[in-house]
Amino acid sequence: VNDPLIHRVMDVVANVLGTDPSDLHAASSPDTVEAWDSFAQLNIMVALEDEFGVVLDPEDSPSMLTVASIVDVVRSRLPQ
Amino acid sequence: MTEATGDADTAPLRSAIEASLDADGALSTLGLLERLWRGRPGPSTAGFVLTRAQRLTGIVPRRTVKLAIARSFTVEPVIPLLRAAAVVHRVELDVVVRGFGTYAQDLLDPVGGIGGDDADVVIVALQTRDVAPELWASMSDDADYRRVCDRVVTEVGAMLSAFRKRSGAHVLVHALEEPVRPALGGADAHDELGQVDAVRAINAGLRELAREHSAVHILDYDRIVADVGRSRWYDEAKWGAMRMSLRPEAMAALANAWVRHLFPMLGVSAKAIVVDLDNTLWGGVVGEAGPTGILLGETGSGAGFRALQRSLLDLRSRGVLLAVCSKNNLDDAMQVLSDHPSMLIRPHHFAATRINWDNKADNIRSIAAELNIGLDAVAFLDDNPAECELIRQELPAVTVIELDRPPTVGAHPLLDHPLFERLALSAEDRRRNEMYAEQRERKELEASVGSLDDYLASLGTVVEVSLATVSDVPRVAQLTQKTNQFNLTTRRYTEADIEQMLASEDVSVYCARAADRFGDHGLIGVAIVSRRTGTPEIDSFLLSCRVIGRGVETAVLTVIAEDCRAAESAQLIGCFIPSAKNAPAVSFLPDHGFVLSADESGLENEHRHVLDLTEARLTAPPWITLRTSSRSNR
Repeated sequence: VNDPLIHRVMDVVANVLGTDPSDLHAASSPDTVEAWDSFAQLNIMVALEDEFGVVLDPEDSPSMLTVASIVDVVRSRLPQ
Repeated sequence: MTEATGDADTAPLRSAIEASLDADGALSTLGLLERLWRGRPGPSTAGFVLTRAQRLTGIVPRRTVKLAIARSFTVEPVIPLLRAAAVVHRVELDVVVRGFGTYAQDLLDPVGGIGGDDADVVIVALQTRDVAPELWASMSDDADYRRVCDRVVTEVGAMLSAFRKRSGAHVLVHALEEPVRPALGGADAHDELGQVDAVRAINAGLRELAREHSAVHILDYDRIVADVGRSRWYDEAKWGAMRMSLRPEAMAALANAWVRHLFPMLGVSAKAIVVDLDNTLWGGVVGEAGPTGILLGETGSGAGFRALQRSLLDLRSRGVLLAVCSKNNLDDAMQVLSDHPSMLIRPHHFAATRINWDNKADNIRSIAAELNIGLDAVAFLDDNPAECELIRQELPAVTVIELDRPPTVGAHPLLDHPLFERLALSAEDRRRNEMYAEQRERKELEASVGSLDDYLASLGTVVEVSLATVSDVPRVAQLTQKTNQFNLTTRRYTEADIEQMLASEDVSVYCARAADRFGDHGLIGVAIVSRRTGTPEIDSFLLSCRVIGRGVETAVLTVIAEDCRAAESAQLIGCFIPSAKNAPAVSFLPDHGFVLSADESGLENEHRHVLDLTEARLTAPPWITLRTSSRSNR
């Protein structure tokens, strides 16, 4: 929970969804957050690309549907 | 816009914003959000800006705008960026994105398309691969590029004509971008009509359409792509999967370009910029370092200040008034302004000057009064956070631009600032600074001449009243949009509206031009007279503030009354609709013999007056030479 990467990802996701980061948790997903529709998903992906300077493929999208899985994918793309 | 360094760059500023949200005034926080957006525009910053801006209370938007976007590709991820780019300048956008790929129907279809009242502005977001795929993908053997050019321009022309019939909304159409890799490679440039040439021919055709239709503007999309870099613009993977072709950096460039076009279309602009001197126009404090000790020149840190001066002169050439407000000894400051060899700005460039030790809020108030503009049309540039904060608190309508770090050649806050964009410059815009200088001479004369009548006679004012012609339309529409003080009804009209009036038998659009011994004011007055009900009625009557108080309005009214009498009308109806700003026009109708009508048929708040033309005889003031010309409006 003290991982700074998690906080940055949560901030980006919360800013796109217009919610407070404290309202999100690892299992938050389109099923639990009303504003998280397909355009929000696209916006989350481009905001993450912008924030972290990574490239996310459309194929990544299905495996990025919870906060926890988003963190995993972003971590895997960051330079070691 | 460095990549992957956003966190390191923006974390301190984001923290400062979070702290400011709880501690400072909303305008201070908004200033920080503007700085964040300017420094690193993009999808991530947009989310941060929008969520924080939502928490600011007490900010009065400059304007709330209904925007519809008709498009050939996925623009949804750009919308948060667009709204962020506008909100940091206090403009709220209410955006509707029309169906995917339905841009033609959106404009053509009177039933299912964008309705007459649905939007203040329509963006038509196109890209080459959608509307002219022949010019993007590899060529086919029988490709006839001339036919492609004709097809695209004809289609867009039909869309604009159909839309213009039901709406006066501004329209911003994307011109096409050049293909990244023309089919013929290097030979494309040598072919009789290569793909790149064909795109350029289409764009020339689109610009021609913009000239034919009122309030239609062309976005030079290729230039925006080129600024970022053709190879860095497109995301082919997302295009393939979701029809979303832009990378994050491209989205930021496009959102900012849209805003730079939307603001001037909607009249969201600053008419004047008031600048500080020490550490703003030059580095250092002249009172301490002396005229030779300040930083200003063509190399080193002095070059940034020179670049800022160059930008200010660019603004001046667009018609933005320059004024100076500095706490300084007048002699010290003037020595630099007049004599420093590296200064680009000289004293004569300023339309108003306040170099003294008075409170800057008072100085800015008096500058606005001298220039005859509202405080909401004033921008203030200063490096001193305390002065900036004072102005935010005392004069919240003023746009404060805080120079938070010394300017550099490539980066300072005036570059690409949307409040200083202009779509087209009228002759009046180009001459505005000169005209204010002439006005200052006029005031000096006023002080030296005894009576007001003597003074007015000494001006040698010539007023020419004529019916508007097509070439007057942009200036007439501009005046209806911008004139607040001497304006009887404050009805705002687009160029399309004015064109319709020129085409109507029942409406006369008068324009007034004025000149005096100090110079030519150009087109400074508009009156619109409607005969739709049989009795002539003054729909609009307005006068630019720079000629108020000289009897020009009486001269214009005299011409209208005479024309109505010649047409054998017995009465002339005039309306006054009070606004927050048009007090200078409140007594105009009664002063000229109009009587408040008991007729309650008009709208609430509309004070109808009647002039009995069989009784009243109006004459222009003796100090005005009145010329009428019978130029037809058809």
